[in-house]
Amino acid sequence: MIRAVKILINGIVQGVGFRPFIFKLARELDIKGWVNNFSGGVEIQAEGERVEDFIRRIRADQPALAVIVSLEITEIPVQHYREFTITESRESEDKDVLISPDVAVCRDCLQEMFHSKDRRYLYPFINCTNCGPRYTIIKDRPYDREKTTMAGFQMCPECHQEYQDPLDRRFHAQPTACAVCGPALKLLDCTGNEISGNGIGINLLQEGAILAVKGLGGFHLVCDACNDEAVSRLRRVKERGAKPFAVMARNIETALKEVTITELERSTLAGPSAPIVLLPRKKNRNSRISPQTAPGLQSLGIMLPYTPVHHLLFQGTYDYLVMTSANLSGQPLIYDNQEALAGLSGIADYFLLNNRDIYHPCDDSVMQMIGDRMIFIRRARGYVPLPLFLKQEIKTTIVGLGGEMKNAFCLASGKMAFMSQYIGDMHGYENLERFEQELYSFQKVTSIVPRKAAYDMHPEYSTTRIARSMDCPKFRVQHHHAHLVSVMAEHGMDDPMLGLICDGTGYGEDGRIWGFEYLFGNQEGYERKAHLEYLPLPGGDAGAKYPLRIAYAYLKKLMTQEEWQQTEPLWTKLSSQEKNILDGQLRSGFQLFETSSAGRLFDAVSGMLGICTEVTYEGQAAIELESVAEKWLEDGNTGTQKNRNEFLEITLQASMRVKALAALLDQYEKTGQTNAEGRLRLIEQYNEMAGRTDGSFCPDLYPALYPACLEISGEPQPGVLHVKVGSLLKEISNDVLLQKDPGEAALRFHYSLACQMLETALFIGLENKKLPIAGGVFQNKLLTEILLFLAGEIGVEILYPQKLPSGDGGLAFGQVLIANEALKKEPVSN
Amino acid sequence: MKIVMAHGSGGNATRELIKDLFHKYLANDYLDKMEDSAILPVSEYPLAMTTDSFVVTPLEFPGGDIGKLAVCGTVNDLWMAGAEPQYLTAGFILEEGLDLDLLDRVVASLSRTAKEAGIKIVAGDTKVVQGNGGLYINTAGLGFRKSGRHIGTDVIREGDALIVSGDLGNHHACIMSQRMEIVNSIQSDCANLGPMVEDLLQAGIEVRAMRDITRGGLGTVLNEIAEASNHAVEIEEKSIPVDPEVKSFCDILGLDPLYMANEGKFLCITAQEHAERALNILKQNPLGTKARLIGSVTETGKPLVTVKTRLGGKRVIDVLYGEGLPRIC
Ligand SMILES: [Fe+3]
Ligand SMILES: [Mg+2]
Ligand SMILES: [Zn+2]
Ligand SMILES: [Zn+2]
Repeated sequence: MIRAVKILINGIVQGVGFRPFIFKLARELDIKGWVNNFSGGVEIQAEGERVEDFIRRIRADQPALAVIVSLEITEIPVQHYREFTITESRESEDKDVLISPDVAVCRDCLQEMFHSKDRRYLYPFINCTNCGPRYTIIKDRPYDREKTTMAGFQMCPECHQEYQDPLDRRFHAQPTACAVCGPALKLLDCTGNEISGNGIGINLLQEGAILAVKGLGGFHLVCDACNDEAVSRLRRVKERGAKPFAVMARNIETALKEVTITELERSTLAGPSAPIVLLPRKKNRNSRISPQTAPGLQSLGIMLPYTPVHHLLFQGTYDYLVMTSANLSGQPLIYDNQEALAGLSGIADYFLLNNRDIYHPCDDSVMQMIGDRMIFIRRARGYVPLPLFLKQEIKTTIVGLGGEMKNAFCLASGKMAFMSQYIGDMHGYENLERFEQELYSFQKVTSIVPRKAAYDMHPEYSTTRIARSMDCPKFRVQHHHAHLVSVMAEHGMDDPMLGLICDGTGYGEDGRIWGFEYLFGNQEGYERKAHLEYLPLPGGDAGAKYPLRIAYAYLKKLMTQEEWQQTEPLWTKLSSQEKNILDGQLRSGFQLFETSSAGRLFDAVSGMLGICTEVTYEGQAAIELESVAEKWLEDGNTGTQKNRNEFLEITLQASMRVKALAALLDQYEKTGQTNAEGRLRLIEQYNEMAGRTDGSFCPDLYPALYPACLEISGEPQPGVLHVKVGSLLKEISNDVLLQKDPGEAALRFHYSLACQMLETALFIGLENKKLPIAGGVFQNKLLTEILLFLAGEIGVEILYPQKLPSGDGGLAFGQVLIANEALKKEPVSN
Repeated sequence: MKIVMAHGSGGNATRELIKDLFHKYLANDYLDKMEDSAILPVSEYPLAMTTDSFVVTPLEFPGGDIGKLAVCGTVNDLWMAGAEPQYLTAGFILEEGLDLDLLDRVVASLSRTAKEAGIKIVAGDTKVVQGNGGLYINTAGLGFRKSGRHIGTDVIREGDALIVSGDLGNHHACIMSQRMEIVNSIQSDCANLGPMVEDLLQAGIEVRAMRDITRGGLGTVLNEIAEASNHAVEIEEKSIPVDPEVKSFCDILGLDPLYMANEGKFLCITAQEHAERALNILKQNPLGTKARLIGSVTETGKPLVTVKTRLGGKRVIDVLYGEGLPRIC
């Protein structure tokens, strides 16, 4: 029997070969009718005997890059079509279709590019419906060539033929081009003069030159990663400090010579999004990659060639290229030819330009595997503008402006939230301009014009200033509350629950700097249940650059006079002037900020252990602390038995301590002594168990761990738990004085802190045995994996950010949800 | 000897305080008449008038004291309007417990500074309040704008040059060092700006506007200028003069010299073609040897202050909302 239906499909269904797929499927199943693109997605009218199969196969066999969000079917009267056709796009008011992120060049295109008989032989801008630029070249919707930066290139007859043929891989591939009609490369020297006879600069790279290469989302600075001199020079002229460079490897096989890769990491690296993946370096030290690439680190950021130009560059003899975003220190990514020539003239020796404009500048995404998942360190190219889907509908349009560092903003409406690409730090004027430019152009891509705004509570964030100038209802969101709601929403949780947020800085309700917070709540509100005790941060951000100063202030505050005098040898790297001023600050309280920051705790430990005494990039002290711990551990795995035994002892005791507390709490529940007095006694018991005895009565229970301590606060926030780190820090300083291995101390610190984090959560109580965690600190793979392990030991599930970065790159998502809730009730500006 | 409440009773103790201490330093034709008001001669020039209150701890600090500050602050405000200072009033609020020797030194300093600045103290007042040995001074000043030149933010135009008369942050850093009991050699820059301004005006420099860089620092002053004149201004980070000792002090404390108070520095906005000459004139003055051209007025209709950083980027210099709260996450 003949049946006729209308099918409406939403999602990423344009520019991904969806209509040819439908066309071919219809022919195969003898379906008549038509398929059509419109701004809302794809519309199909289908009639025939096998309509049911047709619908089933749409879902089952959809093109690799397609994402079907919804598929609506309505029965209609039979029209008796004679064939199946693809009809022209028509405009529509409804603009729900999703725009695809950029896609790494596909296998078919690569084969053509390296096939000497192909008409696109060695053509650097080859692409098809399955690959190539998307988001970065799209100015407006619907996605058609005239609305991309390809508009200026008139297709040649051959390209046009392919473009119109429903059976061709380039049917309606908007960026399609060839050497006759499309964009072309140009190699210039540093004075802007075109040079010939050098191809695309392969020999120059082989000789150690630095090239600025225009890519999908912006410029890269490129040099041979094995050429020590070139890498050092790049580091020097870019004024880069110690911040690691990403490396592009020729292929997976060459990557495997330098790093170890799991199956998930391999498929991520080689997948269509082609992000940078942070991978552990091989320990057998035959590395050919310059030590200047990622100084002091045990991991390396690796990516694979993802544009035709990259593949052409790897015709050179080198196997690894440093590929770092081209920007001036602290400024946004450069993406325009003229800007590049002007801005990078003192950095790059040559410029490999092209005349295909970039509309949305977009950095490379950075990912890392934690537990059995990939997490984002930075979410940009290859992922933006994919939305996050919401459980509850947002009835208005709203923007979350994000944070100050690693900014990304969020536009949300209906059941979708779109995070912008990583914008970067918001200190500079150019970054603010970039932010405003993208805030405007992202509205075109998402069709969301915000009518309300959410922003951070910090009075000095640049985004706060932007919010002040916005004339619409707006809401100030506490930083860690936004982190909590962001991770909860990602995991589909909306009932109030306890979460642990650890980061460097967030402005607290009490005007202090928060950063190690146990918050119980959801988008409607929160309660601060526990936090790290307040410690004095001298000099604010200036102090945070010198971890040893933080350690000095923390220990001086936490120690008795006698204990303090013993620590003299720790401070040899501080000048007497520094010490003088620090003492003055601690005495007078001048330029001294009280903070519960977890990031600064890591800094202090890193400084005390002599691992990092000056921070040249964000998170450096903690990243190097983690690296030193891992190194100590790794050496243990391949080398001496001693480290291995001690590592096992640390692991064992950590798991025992957490289990012991879980058992203690169980018992306490059963006896029903859950009153305040019982709670106090319980905390005493915990402190005895997890802390240190004075040795006279009984031995320490967990000597391989650093001690932990909790305290219930009195006024002004009665009942709030304080995580105390005095005894932990004192013992670490003792280990330094005893000249113990900093690697071991670093590892013990990670285990001890993870224990304390989990134990404090247990004390507060976990409904459903789930604990969401967020904040930049959990980008620390070692710490987070220990936490996952320990939680597993007691049957607790850790919910960690996977769709968005754990750090401030995921902040705006939470801001939007909280502000939406707050402004629902009160539709006026606060 | 200390100040007690009786010093403010209006009785004998008060009379003695006035006679033995204030009169000793401040006696002149106007004050000696002991009238309720001073009668001042009429002038053909436009009058400039200003007032300021001075609260500082400690009362004496390297490079100055509250007495010197109270004169310089008001005298400088007159000069900034292009007015030559003439008459000054001084009101003293003394706290119980104030050391009399200290008060003696402060009044002596105030008197000396006023004489040097060529301003006559024509009225005064003293009150005693309960407290802890503190001292506050209010001064009001009157001056004549003899040059007849119009000086103000309303004549600023695109292309004008910005000049600062010397190192920034010294006063602030000095006071902070004192309060934190840190030993160093940083001195307050507290000074009378008169000689420098006079030189500029006499040389016929096209001065558009001047501001003394006090509370809030250069950053705040520039924002006021941008706002009031409706112009964008841009300065260069590397040309901002800061004394090395002050710089390293600030670096450790996380303070930005751009937002730190001075008591003897000013910002001078001149026509671009006069900038070089103005700079040379300032440099010939002992207080202006470190004067620098720091930037220019860049755009009409856009009140924004930016700084070109050492690395070639730009940064917005905003009005401070907080107190330099940490932002690194
Ligand atoms: Fe954060
Ligand atoms: Mg004043
Ligand atoms: Zn392709
Ligand atoms: Zn063509």
